[in-house]
Amino acid sequence: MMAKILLIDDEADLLFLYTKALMADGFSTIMATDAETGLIKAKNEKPDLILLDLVMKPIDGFKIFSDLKKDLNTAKIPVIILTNLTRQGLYDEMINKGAVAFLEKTDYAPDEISAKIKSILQLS
Amino acid sequence: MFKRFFTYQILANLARLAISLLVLVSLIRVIFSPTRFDQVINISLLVLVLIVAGFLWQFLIWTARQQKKLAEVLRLRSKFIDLASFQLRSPVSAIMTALSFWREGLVEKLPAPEKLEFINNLYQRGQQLGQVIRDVLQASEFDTEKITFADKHLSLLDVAVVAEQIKNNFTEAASAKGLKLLFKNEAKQTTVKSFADYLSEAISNLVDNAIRYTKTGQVEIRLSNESKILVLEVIDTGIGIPPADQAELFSRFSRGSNTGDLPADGSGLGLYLAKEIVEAHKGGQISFTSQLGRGTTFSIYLPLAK
Repeated sequence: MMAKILLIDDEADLLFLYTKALMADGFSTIMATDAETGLIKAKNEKPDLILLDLVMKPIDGFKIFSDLKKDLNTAKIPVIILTNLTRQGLYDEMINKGAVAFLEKTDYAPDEISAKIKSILQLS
Repeated sequence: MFKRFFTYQILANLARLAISLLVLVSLIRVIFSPTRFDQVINISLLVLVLIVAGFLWQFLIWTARQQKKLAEVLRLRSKFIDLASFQLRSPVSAIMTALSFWREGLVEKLPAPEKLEFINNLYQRGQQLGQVIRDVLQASEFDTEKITFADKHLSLLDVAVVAEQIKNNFTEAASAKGLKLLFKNEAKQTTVKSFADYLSEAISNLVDNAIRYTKTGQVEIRLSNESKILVLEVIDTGIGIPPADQAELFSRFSRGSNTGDLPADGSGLGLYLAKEIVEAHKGGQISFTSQLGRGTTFSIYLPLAK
């Protein structure tokens, strides 16, 4: 069965590209362009992994990450942070809070993100 | 810069200590002088010490001002690095992702309408990157000194034409958000002396901001006359500016506290540049009124050309 990935990012053009690239790599994808929808989809659709952006409005990725980790239904879903936000200590902060990886958007092409997801989900 | 900042602090503290010691020693010498002659000498010395201490004190006040300026520069620099790193990374990452997507041969597999959307998105991200770079470069130009446009360098400019052009430039962006963008010309005279590029930049920044922070309704560019002044207003039905944020609104990197905790898509320099440009015109002024949740009106006042 193909793994189901939930992408939460308010940059619609990037979301489109990531979705298409992941689908081409055999993943099933769900999209959310805002935090609230993302949270609902995470609860209802039970994805295998979540790709989460941090910079979103009006609710940012930090809030949704903490909500995901508080809820027993979603707490165990691995979350990869995929963001342009870089500030000192942010990587450690998110990993300590339970993110399985922290990827900077400028450093990871869609195929590399796909490879990272496969390694986390231990897919060949 | 950090090194200089701390050197100032160490020097200031040492100087304070030296002044206190000098005054104390001089006082002790006056109090414990064995003869009247020694007392006169020591009082003279004390007066001398007090004069030197006065000069040193002035120097310390100057140093403290320098420290304050330096601290402000450091604060702005740190804010700039945070903001610039995000604002530049955002379009760069989108462009790189799109190119990598292309390199993997995925664009060819898209249906025609999605292929067109892909190209449009890539183009818009390029524009976004250009805007951030332009804003940063222009801000550094205004940063060096307060610029005033010399009359001989200005040319006659019909602001109605500029406003109409700006309206056309932003119509697509407004429509994409479901907003109406209107231009209303109620002015009898619309010609001022200005630099077309600069004034266009200032008005564009206001319109861009208005569209960015308006969720529903409309943005209107309105021209009118008040005596010998041309008034250009950008009126939106947006989120408004909280009263606590209004005083600092034209500062670099200032944003309303109700715009979210994280950086917006702009450079954070738009309103700062608009103010600098408008005030660089002789008699040029800019102001705004805002009601939270109801909207904001920015007004540019420029003297009409004679």
